Amino acid sequence: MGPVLKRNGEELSADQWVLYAGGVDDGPPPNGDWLFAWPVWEAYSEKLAGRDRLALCLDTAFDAEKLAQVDLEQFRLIGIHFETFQDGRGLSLAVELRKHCHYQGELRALGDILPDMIDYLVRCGFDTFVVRNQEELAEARKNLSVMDHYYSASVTNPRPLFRNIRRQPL
Amino acid sequence: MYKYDQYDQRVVDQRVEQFRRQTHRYIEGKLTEEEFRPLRLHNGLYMQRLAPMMRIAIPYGLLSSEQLRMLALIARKYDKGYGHFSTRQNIQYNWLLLEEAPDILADLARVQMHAIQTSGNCIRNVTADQYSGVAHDENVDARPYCELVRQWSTFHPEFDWLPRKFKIAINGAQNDRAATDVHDIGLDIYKGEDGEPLFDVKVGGGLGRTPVIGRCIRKGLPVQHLLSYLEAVMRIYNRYGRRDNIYKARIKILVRALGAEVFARQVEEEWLKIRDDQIDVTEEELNRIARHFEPPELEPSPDCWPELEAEKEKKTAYGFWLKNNLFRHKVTGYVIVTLSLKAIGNPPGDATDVQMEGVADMADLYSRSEIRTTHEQNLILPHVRQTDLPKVFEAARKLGLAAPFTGTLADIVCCPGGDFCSLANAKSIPIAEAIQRRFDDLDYLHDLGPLDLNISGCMNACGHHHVGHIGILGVDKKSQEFYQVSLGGNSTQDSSLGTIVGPSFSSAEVPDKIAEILECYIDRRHSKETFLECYRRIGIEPFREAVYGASTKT
Repeated sequence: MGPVLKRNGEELSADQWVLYAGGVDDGPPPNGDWLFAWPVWEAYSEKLAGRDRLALCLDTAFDAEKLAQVDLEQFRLIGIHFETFQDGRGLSLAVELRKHCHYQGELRALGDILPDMIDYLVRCGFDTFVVRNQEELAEARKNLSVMDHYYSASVTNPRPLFRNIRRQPL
Repeated sequence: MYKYDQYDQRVVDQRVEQFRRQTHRYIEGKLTEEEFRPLRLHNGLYMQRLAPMMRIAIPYGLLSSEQLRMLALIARKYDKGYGHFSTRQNIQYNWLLLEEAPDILADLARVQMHAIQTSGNCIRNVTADQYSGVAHDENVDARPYCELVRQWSTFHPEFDWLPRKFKIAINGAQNDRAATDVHDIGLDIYKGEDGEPLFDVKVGGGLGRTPVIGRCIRKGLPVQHLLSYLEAVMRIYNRYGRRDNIYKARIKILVRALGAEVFARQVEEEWLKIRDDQIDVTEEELNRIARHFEPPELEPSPDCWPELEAEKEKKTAYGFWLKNNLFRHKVTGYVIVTLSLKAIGNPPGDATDVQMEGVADMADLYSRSEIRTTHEQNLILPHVRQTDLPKVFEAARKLGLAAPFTGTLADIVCCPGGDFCSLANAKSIPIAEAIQRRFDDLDYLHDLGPLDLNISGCMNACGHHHVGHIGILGVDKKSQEFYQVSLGGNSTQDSSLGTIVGPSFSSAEVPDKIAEILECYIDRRHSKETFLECYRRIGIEPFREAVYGASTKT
């Protein structure tokens, strides 16, 4: 994986998480800091349940309703993988994880992440972003503070602009 | 009209700087074409057949004279001296340089304008009745709600990467002049029993390849819940709208696949989860916005309506102009005037820098410095004293904006077509001109009565051909341009989609075929029956016979 940017602008050093390459047919996964795809997790959830360091990786089409019966607090990390940066389903999925599933742990954006969409990802509840290289990390960092204000409410700021500040009447 | 405060201004200023950096990175090769594409589209910039095109937002069609002067300046400074007013109340420039695009946005920001989300798969400029706030048949002024939705949708964290573009229109009058039935979301506002505004929410309407009339999924939604409800609709669409096929990605396809009832239930379930969040507007904020749209204090002016009615019957240029280019104002003694961008030979919707500056001057003199753009691609002076009409006519005539046939066959709605657009299958502007030249007899046009003739150069239907009483669609047949004619479309409250008459025609045949259709109408109409009414009574068959019967005889 490429460098990982945190939403406070720092680079996450010594990150150990790796996408688990095995599938359901490969048997129970060995120990390690794996991000499990949903089918692997579903197949081996009972065997994995006791482990200390667990993480999931969901694709953007994932239906958050499947998580209704799952204890999300056992996951240190949930990743959402963008096949293409133009796939806005990942944004709504993040919002659903935060607002409807009340997931509190780390939410990470992986895959085809464009530095220019970082401020959208942050506002939908992502904490960390895997980018391609150091140059993109610098660009992504600039986009963390590209705007002083946004009109709409978001996960990070549940109050729209008009509830946050007193807008002067005409 | 809405005036920016420091926050609104900061939003557009910072957006300009962001786009400047993105353009720079693209030119330096640090952003690929594929990566830059959606970023420029979110700032209104297309790469067209001949040069980059930029679409600038005119929120719900409202312009000040100062803003219109800036649009004139941009036409002169960055383009070839003209701009094109579009069917979504925006303006487009066709001959720009990519390197100058950030400077154009900076110039726009100086007059509180922008090109944010005028393109790309996001929520586009909200459109409204061009007569909002002044029309005599209005229930509720749509503009404060348009502005509310504009702010909510600007850089919404979740909805800038939708399956496809998304268009919202709002109507608050008895007669729907905003075509709300053919939008992704159409909102009708009216007053409830206690005088509070209520919304009927229609979803899944649209034109393009698969024209559909929207379905109402919620009646009587109070304004206090408008934003959370819209957010629920958008989330369902963003999650479940198709992304595998660009032609099946609009919300209308999702609504049709699920059925409107199931879609409505999913929205309702989502809405129940978020309706008590803080998304929704406060009374204080609504009042703040509404104050920007309080009607100007118009000094009393004599009511000349009876005299005007008499003048209209005279077959003079002025009489014809009065007859077609006026609309009744809420305030006695005042009138709404259409300045036509349809002069014969003028590409429909095009205006030069000189014309734009002239209209800005007219607005300062005669219309409280206010101008509107219409989805029929004309300009409006909303507050004209009836006593000023002779002077306004004279000024419009000098600018070439007094074509006296607004609302008739010659007031053609038309996309830029194959002359400019890289999507088009066929040219549309020359067809419009050929029809205007064929039917240039004012008496005949007036005898035909109200008639919407809409032309699109391709299936994307930017010229709204599906909802023209007569619609013309450019098609490609073995690399030859042909034109398919449909009849019976309508975009107002009893909206309908046109029915195709039959096999398409060559460009040379089109004016004759339109003539045959019109003759059929004149032969068959009952007294005072409009084209649309007549069509609805007799159906398509007589027209089919008129068109294809006639051509087989020769």
